[in-house]
Amino acid sequence: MEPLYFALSCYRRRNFDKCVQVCTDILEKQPLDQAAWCLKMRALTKRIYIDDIESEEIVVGDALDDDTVASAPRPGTSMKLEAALTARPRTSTGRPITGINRPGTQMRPGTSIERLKTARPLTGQSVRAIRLGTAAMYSHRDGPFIQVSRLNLIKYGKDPCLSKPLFEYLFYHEGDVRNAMELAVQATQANRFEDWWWKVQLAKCYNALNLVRDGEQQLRSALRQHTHIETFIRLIRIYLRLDQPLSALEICKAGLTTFPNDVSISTEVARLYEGLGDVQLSVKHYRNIVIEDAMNTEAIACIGVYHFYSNQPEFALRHYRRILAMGVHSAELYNNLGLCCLYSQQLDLTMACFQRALDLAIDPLIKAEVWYNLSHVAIAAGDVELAIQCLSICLVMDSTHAPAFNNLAILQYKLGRTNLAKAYFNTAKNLQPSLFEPQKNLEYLQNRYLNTFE
Amino acid sequence: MGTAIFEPSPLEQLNWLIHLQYVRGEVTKCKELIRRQIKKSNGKHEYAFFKQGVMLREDDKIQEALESFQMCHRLNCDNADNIKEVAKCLFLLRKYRIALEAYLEAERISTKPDWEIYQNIGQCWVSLGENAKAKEYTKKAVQLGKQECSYALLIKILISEGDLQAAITVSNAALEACPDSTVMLTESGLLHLKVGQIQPAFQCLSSAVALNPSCSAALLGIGCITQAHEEYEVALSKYKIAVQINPDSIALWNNIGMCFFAKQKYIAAISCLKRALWISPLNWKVLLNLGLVHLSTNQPASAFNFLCAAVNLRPDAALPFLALGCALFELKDPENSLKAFQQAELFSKNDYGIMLNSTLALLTIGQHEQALIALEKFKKASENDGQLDKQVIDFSHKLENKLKKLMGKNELEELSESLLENSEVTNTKQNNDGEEDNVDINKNSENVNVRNLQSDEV
Amino acid sequence: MSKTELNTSRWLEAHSDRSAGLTTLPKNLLLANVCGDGDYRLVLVDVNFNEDVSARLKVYKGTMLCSDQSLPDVPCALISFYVDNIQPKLPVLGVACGSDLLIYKNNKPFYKFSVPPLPISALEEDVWQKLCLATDEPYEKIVEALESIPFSELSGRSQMLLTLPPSDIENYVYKYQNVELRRTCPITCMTTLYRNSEESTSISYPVLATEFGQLYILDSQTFTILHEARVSNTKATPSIVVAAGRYEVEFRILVACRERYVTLIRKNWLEGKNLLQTTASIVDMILMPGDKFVCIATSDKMLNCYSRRGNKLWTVEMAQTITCLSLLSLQHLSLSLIAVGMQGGSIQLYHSRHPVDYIPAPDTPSAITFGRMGQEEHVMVIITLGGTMNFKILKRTADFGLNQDTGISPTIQSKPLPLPKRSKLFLEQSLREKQNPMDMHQSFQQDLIRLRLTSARTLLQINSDQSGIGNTKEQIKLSAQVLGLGPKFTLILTLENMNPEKALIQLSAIFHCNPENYQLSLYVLPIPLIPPGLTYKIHNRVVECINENLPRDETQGNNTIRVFIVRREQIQPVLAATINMPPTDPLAFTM
Repeated sequence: MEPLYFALSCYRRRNFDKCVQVCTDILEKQPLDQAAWCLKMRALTKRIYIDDIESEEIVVGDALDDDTVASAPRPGTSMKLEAALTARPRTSTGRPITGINRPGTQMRPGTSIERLKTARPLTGQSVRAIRLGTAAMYSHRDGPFIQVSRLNLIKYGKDPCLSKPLFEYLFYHEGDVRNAMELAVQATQANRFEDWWWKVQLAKCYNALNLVRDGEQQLRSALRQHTHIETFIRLIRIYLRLDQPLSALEICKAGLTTFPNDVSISTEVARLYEGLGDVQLSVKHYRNIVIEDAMNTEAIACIGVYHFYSNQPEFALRHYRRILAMGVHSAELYNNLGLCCLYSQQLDLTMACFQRALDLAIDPLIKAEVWYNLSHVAIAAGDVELAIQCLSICLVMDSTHAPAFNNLAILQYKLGRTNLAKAYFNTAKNLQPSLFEPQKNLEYLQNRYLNTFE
Repeated sequence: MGTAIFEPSPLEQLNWLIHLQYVRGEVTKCKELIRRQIKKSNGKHEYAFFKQGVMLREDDKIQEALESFQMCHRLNCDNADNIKEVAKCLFLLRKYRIALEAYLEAERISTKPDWEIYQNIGQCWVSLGENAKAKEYTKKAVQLGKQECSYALLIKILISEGDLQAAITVSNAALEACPDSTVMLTESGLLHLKVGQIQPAFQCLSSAVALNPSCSAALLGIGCITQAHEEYEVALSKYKIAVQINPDSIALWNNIGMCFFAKQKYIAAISCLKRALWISPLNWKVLLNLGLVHLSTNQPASAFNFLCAAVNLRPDAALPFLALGCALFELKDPENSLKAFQQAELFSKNDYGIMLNSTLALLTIGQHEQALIALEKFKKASENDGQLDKQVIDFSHKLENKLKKLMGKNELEELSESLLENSEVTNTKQNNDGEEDNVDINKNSENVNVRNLQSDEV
Repeated sequence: MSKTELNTSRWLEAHSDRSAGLTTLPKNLLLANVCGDGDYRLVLVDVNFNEDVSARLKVYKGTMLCSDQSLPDVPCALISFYVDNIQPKLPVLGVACGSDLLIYKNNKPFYKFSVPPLPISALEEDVWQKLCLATDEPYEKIVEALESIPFSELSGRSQMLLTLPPSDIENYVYKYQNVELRRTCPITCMTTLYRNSEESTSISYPVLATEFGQLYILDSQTFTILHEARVSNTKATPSIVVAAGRYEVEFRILVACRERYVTLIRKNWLEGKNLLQTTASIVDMILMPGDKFVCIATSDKMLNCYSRRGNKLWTVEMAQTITCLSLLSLQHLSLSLIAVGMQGGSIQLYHSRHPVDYIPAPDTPSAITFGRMGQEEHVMVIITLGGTMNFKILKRTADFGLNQDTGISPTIQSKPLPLPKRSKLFLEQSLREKQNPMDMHQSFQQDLIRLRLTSARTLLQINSDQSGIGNTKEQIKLSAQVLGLGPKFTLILTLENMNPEKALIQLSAIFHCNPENYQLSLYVLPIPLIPPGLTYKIHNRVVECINENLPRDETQGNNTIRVFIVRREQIQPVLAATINMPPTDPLAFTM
């Protein structure tokens, strides 16, 4: 078979390693074969491509100094200062628990302390992306595939066939945002500012370099030329980074008029409302998503959580069972099923679910969560000692679990060990200052003399 | 203006401005002004330090505030206000003993008796756990200032001493001094309620609600009174308003649940009680009520779970044990049920329900002799009671008949039915719970972390 | 905002100048016929709070600035009043600056009245005599004597002297050699009181209150003191004064003090009587027409109303901190409203305790006044903290809908309980239990027992790691924190003694790790006594030995450091913990 054809076939079959190999062989024979070169770039890019929309992290403390004007946002216009949802717990980063893991929800208090103390530059580009770039470098024993510094970016910028793959290669594979941007600038100019694709790429680069406002301009300009879902979503993300959820909502609305019922934009809307504390509206949008896409795990899980926290565990149970029927087997899911069973009085099934969750959990952090919830089973059965044991196990697995410390303190207080309780409350407070319970409980303990009338 | 040389203006020239900016909440400007004034005066500006202290304290920087006030005191040791503020900071730092000494010093210095000092001394003594002295000083403060907060403190002290009658007297006096205070009206009403003076309680609470239609504590009290009179619709309407203002009140949700229970709307009752339990998972009263409701809906397994929790959390009350016994009986475990009843008997004095129920349990496991003895005991206890509930009498007669029959053969079906009725008799007592507003520790109920880790890559 | 549901606005937006750049304090803004031509002018004081505080008196005709003159100091209050009955009637302006009342007539300085100075202590007088006589005694020595007098009882001159460096003293003393020593007394607030008629153009007297609690009523023609009184018998510093009635008949003066008192002074009283005391500082006070009620805004966002006798009548809580109040007298509606300016830029109008209107302001209002301006009868002037000047005209058709039923809650009562719906699903699920309660019960009890077993087993397994909860029997708690990116880390261990009575003694910490992986700065550390309830921190520097040749095997728990807290002569450790060290970032290491 013709080697290039074979390489192409490999590429289509997503056998990227093989494709790269074949291309390398071709290039050894004919170093200037543009087709092979291009294909190799694309294969290399595809091999490590990650969806950078969903993996984008919104870094805490990434406030852009030059863009912030008012220090105290008006109520309802910022995600940082939401009206407290009373009945729903929050993650350690202060965002509401959403039912699905997504950027910004998985930071743990310990790591965020570490983050703040380290001198590592925090940019919008996630650490993951940097790592990937380096990993790619290591995999080539005989030097890098392309010597980026030697590239004539102006020349490539004008080449409509090569510029796009080269850009993606630079951006994703090399992680070299600066040169990628240079190329994008050249290409945009070569296209006389008429190619929306390049504008989006430019915005990506600006975003990675933390020039968010410039990114916004590029995206808006791209949208004027061509409406595309990805562009909308990137623009939404930019407003999220700027902590302007209302502007983001505007964009969502505009996007939804062009692409009615689009799942990914609807998802953004639902998440936004959730972040703003309007759970009802959020769930409404998630319901619409489920109508469009009956297999959307995020939407089903979020509706489930909504039902759980609005005292309808039986509905939550039904939604989680649906996810289970979709073939998901994870500790988290069984954990949630267990909780739903417990609160909807399906006592005989409760422990079975939790046992499965325990068996499936490998990560100590998830194990800790399961034990934490098991402590609730123990509390529901009135067995304080058992609850303390469960919480102790949870804390050994994850010694930064502030709610567990808080609950442990309360149980110790019940048993009359006030000083232990105090110490634990303090720990909980220090671990997660956004949690108000330890603070309140501490105050209660300290003012006990003033309240000893019970 | 005649001379060319201006007399230097006194330091106090701009004190009014410092004060003005402070009260208007222009904190940054005020701090700036204070900073400048202190600099200008070479750190001798008493008032600037004073206000700086006040502002620092409001920012919760109590230690720094304390230093600021100590500076004031150094500049002018004759000003009792400075010592008062120092003492207040010490109090906030929980150094009650030193705070007390400071207040006593302020009392010594001040030229006129000051109710505020007395009140604070009282507060210090309370914090140090010396109620007698606290009472003495608070009484002084009350006489001198007739301030609502002094009355409130005195009432608190009296309640903690268990002297409800005196507390009521004080609250009545307080109402004369400040007739429009909804807090005091509510407090007074709830006090009356506690000692069982329904009429004045109702009056106080009604006027509190009239003044402030959204006073949830007063609404709760009124609801409680009407609920006790079995006017469930009225009670519910009160609770409905209250619960919108205070959606996290355990007592409210508990009482609403019990109202629904009384109206035999069991599902609504369960919903409300579960809400209460969600807020306070360790509240045995809610657990007990939930258990009772589940008993009525024929869900003994759930009921057992709730009651078991209630018993574990409150192992010295009769009612949970009685209910637990009933649940066990339903679960066809009469031996353990009997144990529960016997435990209940230990904590109660002549509760007919418990006696009859244990008789029934004895009967079921076939210990007829014992059953007979238990029945005799009941008869003896109830002999002199003229106001015996008709249901109880019926049930005891039934039991007696059965027992006589059963001395020969074993037959049980009708009985278990009547047992349930009996457990409902006990429920009505339960309605009175929750009348005290539960100012309980904030049981961290919002702690169920539901996590789900499906990565949502497209 | 929900308050705008009160149909369309009752106000016409007449003028709004965001660039006016005014800094105007409350009581420093008024509308008066200062030129006598019936065209009411807006008079205000504009303060400049830069390093040199200065102030200007400005008069606006409509929106045009027509007079602007500088003032010697920041005035605390501005008043206008009529001094005589000569036609055309022309009010004068009074500005309280420091201890002086400056009178302006026709926009020109007209008269200055100074508050009588306070007595000077003999000692201070003596000191100055000595200083001026230029004896041989060194200045420092003489000045030292001043230190014995409380600072606040000195004259401004001595206060200044004490803050000077020794080198400047001579010059300073020389400067004041021939000037009489005075202890002036700053004015803190001011108002006017009608003489014998309550007509708006009749003669009235200025009423001044000073920092040291004196109150003066002045004759407006001769500028002599007609009446002098102490504000209160306790220590009270006036901050706001309001007056009602007529001087020659009967009057009541209310003084709000910084000490949260409001005191009352009536005709011929030499000392004020404390009328009431609020719980929070007083922001502003307004006497309602008819002298029936007094409304007091306090810094805890409350608007309170008290009766003549000082009984609290009602209280309304505002959404934001109150910055100023203003009275809106609407004679054509025979209505008096209170405008409450709040932080964030909103103004609420209250008719007694009921909010009747909401007016948005550009930002937080600093001073509000209402009255006749130009030819327009009902104008509200708002000066904001941001410096915006804003005029609003009340529409002639405006009524404030007072007939509306303002009772609470037909809406609240009709709302159903926020209960979740119970569906068929719920019933089906409960049916499961009803059908077979015994099985469910037994299986759950078995499960619970199994849980106890699992938890006990797990606890036993992880007994080697007690970080976090600590040892509850010994009441010791250990928490660890790892700082750094690697290969150098700092390990911070915090040991907490949770026992309230006993101190921890004879303990030592032992660190254990694989020397091929980590090098520590400490391996064994005797721990000093930890008093009850306190904590002890151990810093340990950790260096990771990076061995390029050996592939790191992270699965075998090589990246852990174990810590034991042991007590002397005890075989079992008191506490054991395992610390998982983060992996060194290879990138950071190579860089």
